[in-house]
Amino acid sequence: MDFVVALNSIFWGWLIAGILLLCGLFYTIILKAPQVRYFFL
Amino acid sequence: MIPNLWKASRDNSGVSAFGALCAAVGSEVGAGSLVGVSTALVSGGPGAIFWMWVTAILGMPIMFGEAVLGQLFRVSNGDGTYRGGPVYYMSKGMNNKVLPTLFAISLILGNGGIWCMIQSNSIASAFSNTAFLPSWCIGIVLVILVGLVIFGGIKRLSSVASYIVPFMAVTYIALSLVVMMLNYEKIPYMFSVIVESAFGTQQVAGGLFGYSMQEAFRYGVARGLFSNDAGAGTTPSMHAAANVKHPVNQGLSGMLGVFMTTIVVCSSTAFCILLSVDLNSGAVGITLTQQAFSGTFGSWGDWIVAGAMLLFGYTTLLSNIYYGEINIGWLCSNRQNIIHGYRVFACILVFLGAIVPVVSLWEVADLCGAFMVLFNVIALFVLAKYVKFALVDYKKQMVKGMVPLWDYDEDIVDLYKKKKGVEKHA
Repeated sequence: MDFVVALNSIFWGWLIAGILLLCGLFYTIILKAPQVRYFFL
Repeated sequence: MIPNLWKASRDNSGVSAFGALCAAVGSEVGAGSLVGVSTALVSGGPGAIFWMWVTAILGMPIMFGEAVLGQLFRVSNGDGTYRGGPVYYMSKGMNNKVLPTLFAISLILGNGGIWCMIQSNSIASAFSNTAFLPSWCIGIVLVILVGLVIFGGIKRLSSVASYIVPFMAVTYIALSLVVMMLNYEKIPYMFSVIVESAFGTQQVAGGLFGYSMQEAFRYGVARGLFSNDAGAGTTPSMHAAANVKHPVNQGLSGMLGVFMTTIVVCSSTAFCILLSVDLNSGAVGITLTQQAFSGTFGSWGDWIVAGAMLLFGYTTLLSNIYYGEINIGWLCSNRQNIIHGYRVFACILVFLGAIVPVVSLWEVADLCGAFMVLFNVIALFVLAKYVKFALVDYKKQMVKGMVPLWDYDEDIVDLYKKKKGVEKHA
């Protein structure tokens, strides 16, 4: 279980948040901000 | 966008766009919207909610991409319903079997197994503390309620979610509005504290505690991203089932789901806490949320939060079992006897979760979630070209004044190659 806790502290520190933010920015750029342009369609 | 949800459905067969959205929101709005928000506020200060909003804005296009990919790579069940999700878009879109297999194992173990026990345990704890009912009794009731829905498949699930989710969302928001209206004179101050605390050290509650911008950012981003499941690869299975005219229709409703979960429901919880509870009181988690409602509704506050936990937890439980089904189905070539066996096993887990301690399982569930995000994000980066392709097609039809339609019979990979080949030669 210590191994699992150690892995979690690596993943759930900044790694996963950083990856998701990067992915969000990537999609915002390639789709030209769909959350702003198409949300009220 | 909301009126378009009804127009977006292709016909009355299968799962409607609204039903799929309700089921997806039902799985997103869970304990994170009640407990996660209070944890973020206590650990990161009032500014954490500001960063939750920012991450919701970035989570919306991720969910758009997931929902569109779910639609593009889905397969028919032969009865008017469809199944899809990350395992389908990874295997067909990336022509890869390893990544979807790893994803499916992580999801089945995490969402399809451990999370069922955790959700069932949270509901049993909330009710045994409030109604003084024995845990085994709550476990049996939960098994009956879950069994009645999951053995009816995605149609019954989306139909149940279409009633429960709007009811629970409207009731929760209405009760939160009552708390806000009774504390209306504090609202301008609350917003100024949120913004100031998001960008710098803000002394809160008479200067007893100070929160740095880094803490607000860290906890706001973490809780914001995980409150709406964007990028986790769970809700695409729900969005894939929707019978819509164009994949982009479902992508747009996926964005609405993130908006509803983080911007509307999580903000409601945060506003109630910030307006009526002292963050330095020492209360954390669900207790803090209960205190926020008890301040206005007295002892009914505990019942409101317990009821919200039941409804939010119940729909999350149903969705998790469905996600487990989809992934087990993909691993075993959709053999119905194995899927039925999993449903029975899930009911046993729900009962066990209600009666045994599950604290030690949280770490394993978190690890499974981390792997799911990693595998799914790889696919999202690789398959982004198909999302853009579908959006361009949608926009072209809109510009021509047409109602955007998609030919689901055509294979997306072939269609993409064909269109790109034509463009290259032109």
